[in-house]
Amino acid sequence: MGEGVRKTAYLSLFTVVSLIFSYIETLLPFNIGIPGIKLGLANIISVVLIYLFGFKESLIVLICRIVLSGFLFGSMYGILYSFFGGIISLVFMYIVKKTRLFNLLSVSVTGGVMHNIGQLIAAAIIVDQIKIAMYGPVLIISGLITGLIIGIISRSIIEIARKYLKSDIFCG
Amino acid sequence: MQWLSKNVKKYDIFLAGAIIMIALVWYLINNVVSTRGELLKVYINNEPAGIYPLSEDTEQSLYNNEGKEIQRFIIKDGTADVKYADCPDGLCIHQKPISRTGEAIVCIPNRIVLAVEDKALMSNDKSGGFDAVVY
Repeated sequence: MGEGVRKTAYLSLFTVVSLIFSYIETLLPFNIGIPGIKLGLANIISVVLIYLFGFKESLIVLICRIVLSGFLFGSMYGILYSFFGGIISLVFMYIVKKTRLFNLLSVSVTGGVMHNIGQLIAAAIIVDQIKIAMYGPVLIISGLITGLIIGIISRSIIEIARKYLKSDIFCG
Repeated sequence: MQWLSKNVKKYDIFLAGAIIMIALVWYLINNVVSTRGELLKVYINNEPAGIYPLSEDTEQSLYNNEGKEIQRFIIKDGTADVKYADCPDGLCIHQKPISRTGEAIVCIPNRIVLAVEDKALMSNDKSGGFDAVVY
């Protein structure tokens, strides 16, 4: 089987897994009274893919996941909102990883924090209210905590994937 | 744990510290600029749709163009809180009650914003009044 075919197969598998994570998240009653705070389970896949394949592959899976889960479980605004958070978080994670100064947990924490900041900016633009900047501190700290959790889970998945999947297509 | 002790370098600590510092400074700025508010302003689709004094307890419903109730909020003891929303996730119902200037409850699907403001802000604002039509 060719490299490209195997890569496509793996990426589709990861898309499906991230879709399942998105679905599980809609079932979790994880609500502490502030808008936009979610565990971000699907971000696990972004972190894992950035380490296993790279930025481009992670971005493709992210876009597929957001569009699919938006139509399946969310709304148009949900898609817009997730895009903003997801892409900003991915870009910053990639930059932090690129510097080679930080470990996986730092990359994941950056992703969590920037995801929340991105969604805050999206919300501020959609409703044209700079006032919701009030929520910044809570969103940053919750991004830090969820980023840590996501990082720990991602690390295990990366280890397992490196061990059991045919690894000639992985980067690094 | 073993992984942590091997892989946490000084830059990781710096990053975590910087993030916490930013949150702290942001929080302090919030506290400095925010005081107890006097008015609740309602925006629908970014348009002012009503102003209510926080000093008077009340219960208000907001309707869409078809006359369907899309949100209901109460004002009690100087704080405003959303009690009902017709959107599927109902996030605005779970948001904290608001009472200080700058605080807001936001409903993205219906594009409703409830924002607490100072009385001072109202005098140079011609967009609404106490008899504003709520639709």
